[in-house]
Amino acid sequence: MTAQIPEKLLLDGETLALCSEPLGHYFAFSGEYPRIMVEHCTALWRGYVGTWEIRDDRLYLLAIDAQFQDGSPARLVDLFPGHPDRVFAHWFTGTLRCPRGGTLRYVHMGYGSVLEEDLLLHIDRGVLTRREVRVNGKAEAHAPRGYGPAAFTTFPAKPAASQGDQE
Amino acid sequence: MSAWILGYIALGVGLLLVIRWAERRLPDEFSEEFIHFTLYPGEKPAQVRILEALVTLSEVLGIVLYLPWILVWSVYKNWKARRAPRNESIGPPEPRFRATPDNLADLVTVEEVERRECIDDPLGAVPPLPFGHLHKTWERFRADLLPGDELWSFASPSEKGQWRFRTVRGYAVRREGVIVAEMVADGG
Repeated sequence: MTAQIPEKLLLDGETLALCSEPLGHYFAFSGEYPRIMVEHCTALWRGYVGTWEIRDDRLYLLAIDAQFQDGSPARLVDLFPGHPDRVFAHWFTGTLRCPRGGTLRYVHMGYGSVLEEDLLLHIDRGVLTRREVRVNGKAEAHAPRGYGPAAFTTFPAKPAASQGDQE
Repeated sequence: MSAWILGYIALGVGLLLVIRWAERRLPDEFSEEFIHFTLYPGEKPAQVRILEALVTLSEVLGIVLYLPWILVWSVYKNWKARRAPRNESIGPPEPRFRATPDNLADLVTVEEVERRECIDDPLGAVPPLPFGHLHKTWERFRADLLPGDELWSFASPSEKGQWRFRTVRGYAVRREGVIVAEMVADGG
């Protein structure tokens, strides 16, 4: 397995790497697994990258970067009809993990790498109830900063179908 | 059907075992014996000839029996994926209930549940319906209720699965004392 590309979380004007997958919970709970699970990259087995935001202590999904199997882009409104810009993640109860700082230990698997600290956001039915910072250590000066996979393999993606193809 | 598939797989495994067994008894590729038999094939003992024939036969059988099916299967999968509508569900995993007799909490009515599970958002980022974005799931769940079914709320601790939910909360249907359906409202 390869280290996975994290989700994105906008919090207090900062964009953080989010090593949790609340959208996966939605798919599991709704029983609907849309065909966006196209595996184009070994660092993205889930097939999408979601952009999330904590606003007024609520967890929202703002966008999704993904493709349907025919190559056309999957938008938020395709998954959540009537909600093109923002979706309240009321189905999520748990802890979101946002690693920050320099890399202490790189693990080329899942979200296994350890950075200097983890910002833990405790969520109850989509509402932020508590923030916690877990300090893991101090990285060396030359250690890479920020979370991300060091290497991965990509597979050619299908081009989006043209209008003529769709007819 | 599954017996046929198992038999098919067993045959393949059997062929592999035969090949492995025979190859172990043949002279090593880099041995003097092997080179000698290559230079003077007429001197090959009958036992080596039989083993070689067995390996070749098993390999040919394997290719004839299995390769076409692999090709057919991959073409079929590709064809099916192309024909599927964009939003068609791949399908949920096998039903496994997180609700158990131990974690059932309250006996509730449909009306109570719909009142409890109304979700509000100041930015309007959720449908104003019971269970919000999970409303369709709730509608399917409710449609399957039969007269006499009991509707229970539940909260289940720690599940090890694909998503490693720490807890899930939701509703379960008990029919004649047995949990037959559930719906998860939230978890993580």
